[in-house]
Amino acid sequence: MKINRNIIKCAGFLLGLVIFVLILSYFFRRKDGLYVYDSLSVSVKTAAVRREPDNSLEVLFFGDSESYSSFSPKYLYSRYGYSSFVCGTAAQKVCDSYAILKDCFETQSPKVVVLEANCLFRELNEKESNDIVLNYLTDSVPLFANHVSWKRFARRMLPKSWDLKKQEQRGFIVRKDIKPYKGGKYMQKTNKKEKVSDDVSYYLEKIVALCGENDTEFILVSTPSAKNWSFKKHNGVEEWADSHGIAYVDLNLGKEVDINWSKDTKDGGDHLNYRGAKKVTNYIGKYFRDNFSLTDYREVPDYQY
Amino acid sequence: MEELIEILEELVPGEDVENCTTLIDDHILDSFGILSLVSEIEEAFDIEVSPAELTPGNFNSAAALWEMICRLKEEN
Amino acid sequence: MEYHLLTYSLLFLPAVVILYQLVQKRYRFIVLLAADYIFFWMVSKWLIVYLFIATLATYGTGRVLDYVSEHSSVKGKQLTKRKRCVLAAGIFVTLGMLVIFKYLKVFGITLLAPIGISYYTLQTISYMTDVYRGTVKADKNLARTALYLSFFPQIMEGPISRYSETAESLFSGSSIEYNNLVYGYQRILWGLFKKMMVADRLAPVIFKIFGDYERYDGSAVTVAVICYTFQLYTEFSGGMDIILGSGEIFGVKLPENFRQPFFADSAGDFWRRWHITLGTWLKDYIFYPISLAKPVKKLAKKVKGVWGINVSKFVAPTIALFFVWLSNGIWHGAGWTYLFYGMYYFVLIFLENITEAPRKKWIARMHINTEKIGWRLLTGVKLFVIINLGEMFFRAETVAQGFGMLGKICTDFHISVLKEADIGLDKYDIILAVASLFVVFLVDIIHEKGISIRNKVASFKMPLRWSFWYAVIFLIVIFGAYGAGYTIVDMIYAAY
Repeated sequence: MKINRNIIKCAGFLLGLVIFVLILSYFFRRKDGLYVYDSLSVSVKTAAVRREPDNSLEVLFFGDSESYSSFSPKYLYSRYGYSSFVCGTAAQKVCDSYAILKDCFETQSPKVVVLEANCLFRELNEKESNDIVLNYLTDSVPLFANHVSWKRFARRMLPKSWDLKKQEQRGFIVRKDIKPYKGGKYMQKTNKKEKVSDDVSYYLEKIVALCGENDTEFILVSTPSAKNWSFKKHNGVEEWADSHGIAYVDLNLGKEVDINWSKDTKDGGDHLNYRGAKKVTNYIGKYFRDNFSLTDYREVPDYQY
Repeated sequence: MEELIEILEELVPGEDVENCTTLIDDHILDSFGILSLVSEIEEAFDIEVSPAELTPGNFNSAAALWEMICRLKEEN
Repeated sequence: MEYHLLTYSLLFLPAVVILYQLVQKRYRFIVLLAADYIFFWMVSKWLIVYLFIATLATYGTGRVLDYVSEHSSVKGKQLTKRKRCVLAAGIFVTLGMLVIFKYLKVFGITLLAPIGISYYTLQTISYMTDVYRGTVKADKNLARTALYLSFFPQIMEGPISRYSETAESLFSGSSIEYNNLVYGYQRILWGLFKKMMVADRLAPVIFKIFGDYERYDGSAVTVAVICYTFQLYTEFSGGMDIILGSGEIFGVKLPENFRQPFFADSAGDFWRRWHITLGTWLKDYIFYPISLAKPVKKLAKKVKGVWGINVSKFVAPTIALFFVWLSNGIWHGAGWTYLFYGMYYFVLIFLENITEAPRKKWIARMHINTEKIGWRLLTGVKLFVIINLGEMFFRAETVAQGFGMLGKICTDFHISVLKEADIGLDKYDIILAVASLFVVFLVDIIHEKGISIRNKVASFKMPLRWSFWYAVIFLIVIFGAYGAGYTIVDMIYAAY
């Protein structure tokens, strides 16, 4: 008798648990219906962009860590006067780039969107842990999948001053350390291809379409990275870009930007340091000047960087 | 026994060592205290205490200590 | 499979619990042993062979020791000598495996070690030594010895239990009781709270700043060091909550590994509250034997002859203390940072010991009330600094990095730039981390006062009780640091 009562109690408790999960899942579902891998980074980045004055950014950079190691908005402004922001996040997946971009268009009307191409080779549903139960829950139960939206709810309730600080570097991270790359030539010419996967291509096309709707130019750029880049990837991106009529600039070929691998990288060829970033930013500024008509904000009196 | 109490009183002044039964459990004697105690009683009673004897059971009270000392004396 | 994974607490553990309960009492130990070996197999595969060897060696040594004591023709010192040889042979086998797997790294040979070898090897040694000392009777049942060495909740990171503490309850196969089940899961939940609300939330700060400290101001480095101390505490003690909770379900009372360490009043006291089972193991099997060893005693006598008792009384404990901390350091791994960590505490505790008498005198002369909140706060802060310095070197890649970080903190400290520093957490996570730490701290205060929270909650009426547990569960589900963007960090102490 006693045992039965205990079993009923356990079952009752678990039933209550399931009901609560279902109710909360309703509140935690993503209203835009977008698939997002890293909802935390997305919410942090979108909040950071929303801190910027409306319609003040003409260039947005997307991508993984390569993007915020290579494009310096501050330096770009000092050399060319262009106003930009790095929306790249660590290990960004294209689905997240899309979600951030979509949010950016709510407050900004960028003229150019740049996507650093290294993130095209990142799987969209990478799992960090081998916890099959947790992975199942985060894949199929909205409460678990989007639980970090609590930050969005909190942000809405808190005063605006409570939000993230305005980022002096606008998403770029200054790293001045030097750790040379000691390997040999990493761009061996080849005909082999590492194809952009269909999943990634699906989101890229959505990004292209979104830019099209807003009259925004979209380009793909590969910034120099001895560790991450290869000619196979180059061929894969080039093929995709050609078939979709998108401009693609690969800075690993050694022609456009002269990277000194013993001084311009902070971690042995994985990411550029500030020296390297300045070279890349300088080139990309020139590219913008030659191809697009962007505002030189140094000549706009009220503009403050 | 009196000699033991004297040793204990000197080691942990201000404690009621005669009646306390939680010398170890209440951390009145720490491992350093135990060692000082051991070297004193080894000298005073001419015995040898092996590491196996260093259990809370043997050191928690003066009575238990005395029992151990007597046992070791016999074995000697 | 790590204990903080939901796969463990919501799949593996329930499966074992149900199977265990369904089977007849006398066969239950087989379920447990099978679960132990399946668990081990899932992580270490064929390396399980080494666990088998250790088990057989431990069991065999016990039996041989028994046989020698009963059937030996010699008595007294001769007998002790023989038994000592048997014990040495047994320890040689199990400790030898540990040395090979952990320390060949020094010679550039890195082997993948079986899980938990650092923990179960200490258990083999304590059992064999206890049988040798006669404090434990040699086990005639191989299965019971095997259970003692391989219990799946504790295999990966301890606690290091003694044969007398767990062997019998593991073997007895007593039924799972409703209260144990509920209490066990409540404790697991508390462990998950610490892990998911604090430890994993702080992880990026530590990863970022320790990996790249030169780029940061001393103030940010300080934050990272403090975060690491809290991460280590919540992650390791949280793991223990999951482990002890699991044991509780089966009616196995595993020894506690933590007792509110931050409320200690000295470095020595800290180590009686932090990783307790390692400390007591070292005390019983290194500290006492060495301080009571003949050569050490002889040396102490000599010193007494020259400098008198006030110096000589420190000789034996100090020598033993040195070996305790040497062992503690290198037990964590073959690395200079661990050795440094061990020696750091050796020096500190040595200083605490030799200054104890003068300090007490001084306190009496100055009429300081050591129970007063001001004094306790002062010692608390002092100890907190000591702990953090130790953990900084413990976590650093090299001793040089440790000093580099220390240099940063001492010479390049600007609290004003901290607000601008990118420490890898947003405001919300910082607030939640602080709030969760506050909860952990509060619970520690309540425990320090000797109050059991679970008993308190259990005394609530059902609606309130259930609401409380639902609240805790959904607090973790909503605010926990899991999913994309957070990294679930591997168990830190499983690596040692």
